[in-house]
Order: sequence, then structure tokens, then C-alpha cells
Amino acid sequence: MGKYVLKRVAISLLTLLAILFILFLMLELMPGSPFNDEKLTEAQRILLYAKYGLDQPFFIKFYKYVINMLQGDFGVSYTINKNFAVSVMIAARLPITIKLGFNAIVFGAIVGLLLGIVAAIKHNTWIDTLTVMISTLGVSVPSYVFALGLAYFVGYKLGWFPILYDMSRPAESSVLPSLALSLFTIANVARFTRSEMIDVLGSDYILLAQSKGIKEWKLILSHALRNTLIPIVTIMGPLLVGLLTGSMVVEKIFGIPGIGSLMVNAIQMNDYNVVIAIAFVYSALYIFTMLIVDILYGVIDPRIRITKGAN
Amino acid sequence: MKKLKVLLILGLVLALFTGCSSSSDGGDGETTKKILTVATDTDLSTMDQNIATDGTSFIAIQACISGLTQLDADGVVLPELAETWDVVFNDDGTTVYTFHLADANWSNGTPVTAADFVFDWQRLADPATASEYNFIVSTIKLHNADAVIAGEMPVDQLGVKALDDKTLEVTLDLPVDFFLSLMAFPTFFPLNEEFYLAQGDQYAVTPANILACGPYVMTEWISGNSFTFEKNETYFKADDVQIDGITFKYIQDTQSAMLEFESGNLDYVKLSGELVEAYSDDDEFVQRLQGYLWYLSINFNDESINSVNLRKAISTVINRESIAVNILKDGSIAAEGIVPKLLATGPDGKDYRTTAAVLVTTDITQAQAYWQAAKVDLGVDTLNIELLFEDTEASKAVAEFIQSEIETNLEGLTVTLKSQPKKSRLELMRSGDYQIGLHRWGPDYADPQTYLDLFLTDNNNAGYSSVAYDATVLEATTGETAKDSTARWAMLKEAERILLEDDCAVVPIYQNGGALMISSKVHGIELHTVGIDSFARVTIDD
Repeated sequence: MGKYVLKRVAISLLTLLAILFILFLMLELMPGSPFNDEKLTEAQRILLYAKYGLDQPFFIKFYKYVINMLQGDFGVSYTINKNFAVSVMIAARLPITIKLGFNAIVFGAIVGLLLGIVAAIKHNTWIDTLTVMISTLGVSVPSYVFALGLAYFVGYKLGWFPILYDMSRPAESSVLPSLALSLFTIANVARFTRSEMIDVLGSDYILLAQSKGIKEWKLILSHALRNTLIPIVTIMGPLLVGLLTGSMVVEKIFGIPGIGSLMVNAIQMNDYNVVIAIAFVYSALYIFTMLIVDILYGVIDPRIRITKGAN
Repeated sequence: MKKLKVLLILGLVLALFTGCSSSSDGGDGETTKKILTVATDTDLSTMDQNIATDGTSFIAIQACISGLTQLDADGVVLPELAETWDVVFNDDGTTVYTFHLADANWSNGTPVTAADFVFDWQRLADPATASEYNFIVSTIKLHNADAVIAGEMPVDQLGVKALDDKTLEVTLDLPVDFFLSLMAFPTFFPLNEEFYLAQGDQYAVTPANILACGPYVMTEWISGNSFTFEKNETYFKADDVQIDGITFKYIQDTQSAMLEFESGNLDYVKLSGELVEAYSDDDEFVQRLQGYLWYLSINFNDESINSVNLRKAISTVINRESIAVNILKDGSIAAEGIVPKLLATGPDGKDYRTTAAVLVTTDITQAQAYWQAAKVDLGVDTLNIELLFEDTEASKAVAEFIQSEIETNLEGLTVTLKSQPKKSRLELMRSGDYQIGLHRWGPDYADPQTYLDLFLTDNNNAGYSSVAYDATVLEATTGETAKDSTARWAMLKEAERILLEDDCAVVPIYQNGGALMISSKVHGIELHTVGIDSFARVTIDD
């Protein structure tokens, strides 16, 4: 198991480096500069590029960037917060986005699981149909619409929660955004849980357990659920991606100072260092999650553990 | 089964509260305080007056730091940190301003001195600072400005000196009519050298690293969320400040901002897109004019379209009124020339545009005649031109309208639309890789020169070069005529006439408007077409 993990970690690191290189290359090819192109004169552009080392050859820039990055220096922002250290900017905002994402995924997973289980048990009843409807809606309705809808009906009309993120009331402010973000998770988890559970409930060992007289809820929790979880864990990766991209929209609507809204801003303003840093953070998060997922497989399903161990 | 159902319901309810926790109610102490709450659509970039380039940063800096002069609601120059000033116009053209400073202190108790201004201006011009606004010291013709910026002379050679703590002497190479109005612009604000050096590389990074000498002092800055000001009790005119503070909230989505406005939590929101029409009948809807002038830039280096008759045909076929009133509907107005309205007041006390001729007209018959002549010039029967514009809603609508006007009325002339993101559009135009481009220019200072300078031979990427135009502009701005305000003003008008009437070098389309929602309880927000909006004299009803 240990060797397996180490190998996976090494591959992850190499992947991250490759991603960084591609990001750098893409930004190099982007038109315009991070500065005020509308008003910039040629003389000023030369001066500014020299000051920030942007006039150097591509590979030197890349090499310097990686060296600095390993020491925690992600460069400075050119437009969003002029001359501020990018690492400081991200460090201030990352916790908010992570908290939001975590709330969304936990809430989404629990509700999704519950919905899926209920739908599977009550297969072919109205509860089942309702769950399928919710899932379809959740996957097709853009998070923008849902977020605005929540902001309007719950935030504005009912006034239960703040419409915009209020730094003095972080708990209340994160309810609506977490809800908006979790819809995608609920929909996907519910769908997968339902179909997996239906399969599992129809299998032989469940029949055996039922005939042994085990109570229904114990049946589901200790026997059926564990097997259902494997595909759920599989989709955690893509779900995380969905959350990351969804967070950009949700953060924009609710005015949340997270890295999602920062990313959107940075792309629009050509703030190179911020774009690279956040894209890198996203990639790292994703790769890390896939690593955890791989390890979790081994934990949840003994069959995988034993087969891998045999190698 | 029942047990399971109960468990499920409990689980759902519990899950709903993972995001919540009981929290204390928001403090009610704010109801007696008068706080203006403003929504901004761009985040605060920097509080460093020599580094800032965007409107939001300038507004924030102007809220807590004052300059030699300030502008009132109509753009008239008023004293601020400079109580009085004397001007001497020498025969050789050089102009010397002597400013006498009022008794004012920084928020840490140190007095504001002339040396603070010297330090700021030197830092602005210093090539080591690489300020994107350093050109402005050249614009005001500050003595030795060009040499200092180029690194050929040390910064202490700049034509600004502190004669003593309260007397500042500025030497310009020529009389500059708009000099005093530019002294209200944040790049020229004072900067205390001792404090600046004590901050190391942390100057203006947090509210604690900035000194205030203006009406408000910054108390909080949460990047990506909000920045807050309180009334500055050490401001030398603190009695004139009628409110207790301003909170700026950064809200990226206009619809969310409007929901907050409707809830009474915001006093000021900038409207965009469809919201402009949606709220246009509301009592709190305010329209304003901005300084941006949108025009068609035509590439003179492209031989296939190089015909003055073609340009005139295009210019006279477009119905600008229709664009402003039917398409944009946001307070934009049809352009009458390349110099916008409310930009600059002349020596006669009147706005430039009211005394200058209307240099663009719409006349379909004339346009068709010009098109016939153009066909002869270029030796073609049909022609296709490419119109480059940026991928914003407004530009797209305007470009499509222009296309339809041309194709409907000028038979044989067709337009291909090319939409690009703004940065790409700018790069294409900069490198001359376009035929016709929808472009805008915003003023850097309150004088027609900021527009007319654009079309000098060395300055424009469109390849337009006119000996007559260059001579007229240069004579008016740097020659003998520059010393005579009235003669200069007349000459600037003549230059615009050459540009548009004779050569039709560019086709002005419209001047940007803007739509805002301002709470009816709030008064005194000064919206400047050129320069920075001011919140210094805001009052809020009880």
C-alpha cells in the first residue's frame, strides 16, 4: 500500500509541473498586457515590463517562477491589488472558498445520499419520481439561476439570510451560497446513490441478509451502503471540479471574497500571476482529491485492497 | 419502517443546519450614524496615488487625501490645501506658480508641508517607480519633466521646489490653461516622505500604512469585499463634512447590488445592461455624462479604403441620435465632434462644445453622393470593409447598427463585423491590423488637447498624417499661440475642424452616458465628467 501511495504522489507532482508549464505557455500567448492597455505608451510598456521581469525569454521566466514558487513566492498582482503579494491575497481568500465548498459538499452528499436511499427503497413510487425530477433539475439548472433565485426569494423577499456576504456574520452569510453550490452535488449523488442502491438491494448477499432476519435499517447502513459508496467516491473528483467552477458564479452573485471571484477578475484583467497561482491551486486541489479517492477505494472495498496488496 | 422515516427527517433537518450557527444580531448602533453605502463594480486596486490607474482607486484616495486644489460640482477650481496662489507669466513662455499652503495636518499630527508635494511629484516622475501615470508631469509641461522620466536627469531637477514649509513653487515651460484643475487629480497629492520611508515596502497596503489629510480616513480594507472610511476629525475643514463615514462594497453582480439597494442597504449603484431600461422610470434613477468619446478609427495604411470621400460617406450616413436614444438608452449622446461635451471650459467661461462648430452631420443624400465619388477614387463598384469592435453588449449593438445603416443606404458597400475581446481589439489596432475600429478615448485632463494630441503624426497608429493638422495643434500647444489663452482656444477649434471637416480622419459616434441609482435621502454626490467623482460634500437626510 505504501509503495502504491508513493508512486501516486510522485506522478501527481509531475502532473502539477506539467500543468504549470502549460498555464505559463497559455498566458504568454494571450494578447495584451496586464497593464492599462488603453492608455499605455510604448515607452511606459518597456519600463513596466523591465520592472516586473516580463521582457525576459520564456524559459527564464518559467524557471524563475518555479524557484520562487517553491519558496512560497507567487509573484505580485499587476492590476487587482497592484504590487500586493499574490500568496497573501490567496491565503486570505482560500479559507472562505474552502469552507463554502466543504459546507456544500457535506450538505450535498448527506442530502443526496438520503434522497437516493429513500428513492431506492421506495423504488417506483412517487418519492422515487420526485427524486429523479430533483436530480434532473439540479443537473440542468445553471447555478447562476439557482443562486439568483435563492438571493431573490429567500434573501430579499423573505429576508431570512443576507443577500451579500457580510464579514460580521459569516455563518449566516454562507447559508444561501452553500445551498446554491450544493444543488449540483445533491443532484448527482442522489442519482448515483439511487441507481447503485437499487442494484445492490437486488443482489444475492442482501437477500441472504434479509433471510437471516436483519432489520431493514441495519441492512442498509452496514451492508448496502458500503457497496453503494464506491461509485460515489468515484464521482467526488468531478464533483469537486463542478464545485470549483460553480463557486466562481456563486461567489460573484453573493459578493463573497473567495478565490472563485478572484479568478474571474484576474482572467478579465490579465493579472498573470494571480491567474497562474489560482489555476495551480485548483489543479493541486483536484489532483490531491483524486489521490485521496484512490486511497479511499482501498479502504472501502477490501477486494481492491487485497488485489493491490497481492501485487 | 417508521423508525427509518423518523431518522431520515431528523437527518434532513440536521443537515440543513450544518451551515448555520446561532450568531449575535448585527449591532444597532449604526442607526444614529450617517453612513453612505456605495456599491462599486471594481475592487479597490491600490491606495498608492503614484501607482493607481483606475477610477475606484482614485475615488478612494481622494476621499482621504487632499491636493492643492479641488473641483466643485461644476468642475470649477477651488482652493484646497493651497489657500492662495500667484502666477507669473514670463516673456519666454515659462510660467511660475507659487502656492501658499493652508495650515493642515496629516492624521498622525505631522503638518502637511510643501516638501510633501515635492516628494510625491518626484516619486511620480522617477523612472524607478515606473508609474503608468508619469506622462502627466510632461502634460503639464513641468520643467525638466521629460528628462527626468527618461532617466537623463535626477529627480531633484524637476521644476517643483519647496521654498519653505508653506510655500510651493512650480515652474512650467509653457502656460498650461488646465494646470490648476489637474492639481485636484490624485497623482499630484502630497506624500509625507518620513512616513513613506518608515513603511518599508508596506506603504498603502493596509489602512494603518496610509496617512490622511482629506475629509475621511480609511478604517478598514477587506480585499474582495469592502473598504470603509470614517470622518477625519483632523481634516482642516472637518466642519464641512456632513456625514460620519462611507462604506464601499465591492459587488460584482449588478442584480445582487440592486436587490441590496431595494432592501435599503445601499445608497448608490451603477446600473448596466438591461437594468438601465428596467429602472429608467424610477425616482432614484440618475443619468450622467461621462468623458469617453466613441469613434471609428480608420486605417490610413490600407490603400483599398484610403479615400476621404469614403470616410465622409460613412460619417454622414450614420444616425447618431438613433444610436444614443434608441440603442444605448443610457444617457449617451450623439457626438458633435471629437472633443466631448462638459470636458473643458474656455477662457470665455463657456464649455468648448457650445462654442465650437457641430462638425458631424447626418444626411443620406450627401452620403450617397460621397459614396459615388469614393467609388471613382478607389476604382471599384462594390467594396467590403471590416468593422472591428469589442465584445461588449454596447459595442456590439452600435457596430451592428452602423453596419445596417451603411448597407441599407450605400448600395455596393458592405460591412463585415469582427468582434474581439477588448485586449485583443486594442492589440490589433495598435499593430495596425484592422480596417475600421470602434474605439474610445477617455480624457486625462480637462482640455481639448487630450483628444487633439491623439491624431498627431507620431501619436496615432492609424497612419493619419496631416501637415496642416500637426502644425495647428503644435502651434496651439507649444508655439507662440500657447501663451495666449483666447488665441489658443480658437486654434484648437480650427485643428478639430481640419481633422473632421477637411480630412474626416475619424468618425465620432457618441459620448458615453451612465446610469445610476442614488437613494433619495442622499444629496451632494458630485459626478464629474472629467476627473474623479467626489463624496466630500455628501449629506444624508434624517
